[in-house]
Amino acid sequence: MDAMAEIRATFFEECADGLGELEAGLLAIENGEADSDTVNAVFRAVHSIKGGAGAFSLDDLVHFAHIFETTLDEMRSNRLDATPDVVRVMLRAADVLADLVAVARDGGTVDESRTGALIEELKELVSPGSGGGAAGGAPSAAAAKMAAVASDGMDDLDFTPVAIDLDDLMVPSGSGWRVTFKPRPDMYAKANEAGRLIREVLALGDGQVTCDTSEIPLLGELDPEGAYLVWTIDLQTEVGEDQIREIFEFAEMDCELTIEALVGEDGGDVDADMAALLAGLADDPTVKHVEPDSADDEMQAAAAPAAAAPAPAPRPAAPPKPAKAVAAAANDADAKAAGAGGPPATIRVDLERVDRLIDLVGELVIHQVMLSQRVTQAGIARASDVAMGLDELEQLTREIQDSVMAIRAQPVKSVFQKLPRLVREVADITGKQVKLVTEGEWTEVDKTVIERLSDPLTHMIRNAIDHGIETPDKRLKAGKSEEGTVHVAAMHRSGRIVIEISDDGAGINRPIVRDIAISKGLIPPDANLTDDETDNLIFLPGFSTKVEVSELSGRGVGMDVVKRSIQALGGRVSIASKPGEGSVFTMSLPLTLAVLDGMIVSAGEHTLVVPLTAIIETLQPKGSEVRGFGNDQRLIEVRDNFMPLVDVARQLGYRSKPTPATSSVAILVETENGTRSALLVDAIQGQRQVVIKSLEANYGRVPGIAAATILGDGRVALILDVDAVTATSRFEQNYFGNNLQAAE
Amino acid sequence: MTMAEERDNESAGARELIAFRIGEQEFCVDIISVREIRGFASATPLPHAPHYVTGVINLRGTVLPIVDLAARLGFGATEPTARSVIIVVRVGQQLVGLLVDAVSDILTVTDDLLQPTPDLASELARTFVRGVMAVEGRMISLIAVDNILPQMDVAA
Repeated sequence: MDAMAEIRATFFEECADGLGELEAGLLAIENGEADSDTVNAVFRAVHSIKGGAGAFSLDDLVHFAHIFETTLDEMRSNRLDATPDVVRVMLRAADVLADLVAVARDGGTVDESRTGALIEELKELVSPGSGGGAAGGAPSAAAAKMAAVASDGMDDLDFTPVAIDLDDLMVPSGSGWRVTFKPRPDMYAKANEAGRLIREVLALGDGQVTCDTSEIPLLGELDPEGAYLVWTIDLQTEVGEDQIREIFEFAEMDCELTIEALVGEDGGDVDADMAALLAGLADDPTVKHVEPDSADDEMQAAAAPAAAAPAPAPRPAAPPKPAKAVAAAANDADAKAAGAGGPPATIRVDLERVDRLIDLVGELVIHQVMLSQRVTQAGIARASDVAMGLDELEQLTREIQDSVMAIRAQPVKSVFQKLPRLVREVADITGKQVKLVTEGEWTEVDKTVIERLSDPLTHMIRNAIDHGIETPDKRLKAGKSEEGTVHVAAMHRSGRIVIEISDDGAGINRPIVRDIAISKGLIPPDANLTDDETDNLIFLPGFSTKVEVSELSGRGVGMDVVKRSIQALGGRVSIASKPGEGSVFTMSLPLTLAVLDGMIVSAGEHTLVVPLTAIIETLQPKGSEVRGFGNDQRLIEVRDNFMPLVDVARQLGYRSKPTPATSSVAILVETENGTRSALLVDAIQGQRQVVIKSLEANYGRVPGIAAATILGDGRVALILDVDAVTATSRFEQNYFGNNLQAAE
Repeated sequence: MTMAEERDNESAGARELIAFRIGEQEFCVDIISVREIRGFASATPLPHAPHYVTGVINLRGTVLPIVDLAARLGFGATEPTARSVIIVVRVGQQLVGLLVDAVSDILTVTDDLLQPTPDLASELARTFVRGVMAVEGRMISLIAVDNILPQMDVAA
């Protein structure tokens, strides 16, 4: 990736963060939890998106963000009250902003009319009456000022004007830096000379040096190798703090050095608004990202102003110290918002590096197990120092493994924060009133799981609103409040993540579900089903409860697809419903896709792993239960049901003759589409967690095999693809069937 | 070899090759593509794999497919012994282990030594042999590793 694309990617990552903050902040305001910090955070989020977008000439985005920001500024300065109506407009504006960001990133088009309408609405909030776009009434003074700012922004659609303001603020003409320099004895001991350093500072501009000699003791107490002098240099210069610091680079450890911005005469009439803006910029994550120490790198130095938009090229991007010094007086609240309660320091790391680390730690665990086995084989006593040392090593390696896995873990918040918008939109379209309550958004789960969680979750929530929650008048008739509630909760439960989606809607209408299933031929008309079985009918392929396919849920995607995608993640989904009270969908997923719970089995002298999620039960077939079927197939009878018996060793070509069923073990499995089969294996060795290794990386897809893993003895074992193995078996059945027909 | 000679070799397109034996014949691969050489470890066979894919082994946490080069060249399968060797080569983005009988030499040769593969070589051998060369009275065939896993590219 070239440097520009990288910066662009970073910008969009930060946009995503900003949009999340924006939405979270607006929701807090909506719930009346807003304080000035929240409003400021919301303002900052929009502001940094605008700033970054300006650098990439994303004019539409800048334009909209600018107007949005203008309205938010009114709220920030308490000229606009955060009434529910106002917040609702802002939430929709946040949605449009998200759309514009998405379009800027991925291409495509936005709904111009929607954007336009919201711009009008936002303007209307700032100056009521003048909203209609053209000539308005007599706008208030504040509105006139805002309008002027707005039109200013629209004229050149660029963020540069702010950059110039910032520039002027940072180094107001006729001002510079006050450098206070107090050497410690160590500095002189290392042959650094104060005079030389001061001369270098003076070379940067016009300066005045004063020396504070007040600390010099009386001659009797004077240490000839001590350091007692303090110099203060008032430097009139255009250069940044960094360049001054650079001079002191080798002496910095051995002296006390402070560099403060020197605010000149014309620095005094800095507009308070601008100072606040500056504070916002200093706290701006895009600026943080390219902090001074990286600025010496030429590439990054060039990148810094681009990402941070405001700073001109050679100058380091907004040195935080002076910015705060100027801002602190003007806007205390802003500085506080940035300082206290900020998120913990984070770094962005290439996922590949983390995966490599996980691989290596996996290796470490395997080697540690091998070492233990060898020590035991060598007949060394359990109580010996060697064995005890190994036990400690084992504990340590497990801990390292857990910590490394934790690096990939992320809170489900990133998925959850998309939900409020989804709920708003679906509620709008269906004409229902829905409140979303989320819980456990800090529950952590592996990144890959998070990425693939979004779609099924989205669909289930759509489903809950579209099919579950009733219309307001129906709800009133049923004696409920007009507003329905969708509750989404995430939690850890026995080594898995469980996500519950519950609604207080009508619940599943079982007679209708039953009728539909019968009419679609999914169940026989005389089927005798329990309530639970009826509820689960909605997961069958080809089932859709709405007679006419609704715009929302019916995109050719049914609950069967949801179930399948969850199962593909090694998860399960279940439903509980009470008529009139609502339904609860529960999905449970593994915490990571990097490891898997498997049953270790042997088939034809080879060791295989069967994913535990697919297994229903294991049993020892009796001779009478296994029946020949067709040419070469066998069926097994389990509690009056016949299901295909898949001879794994033959299927994979480990053995040419059929495996004798009675001396083997049958593993009952359910495939992703709900059909059941029995896998015939020679023996079960045990059950354990295995690390999943890709076969595709160095080889390619192997039919019937999902992936590989490395066992404790260092050998590779293959993980069975239950679906493929049973499907191949069905295919062969057909194949043989056709052959028979041909023979006849 | 003196420094001057080395320089001469470089200018004439000298390259280093790793020579190995399969049965009585000698082959070589460009040292650039070789990642490491290791002893044979018993491989886990892959179902439905071509006959020349012995299986997969664990290379420090990576699953490494092993290709029996003798079988690949149409000589018939190798019976791996304790002295068999796996040459790990990089082919594109993939790592592949080549199962051979023994590594014999590291050669420094120039491109002009390389003769085109003679016509009478079998079709299969011609696919993988880029050319032959005479070194100290021995005939050594240069293997092009790119085509070792053609089917897998399709499958992947």
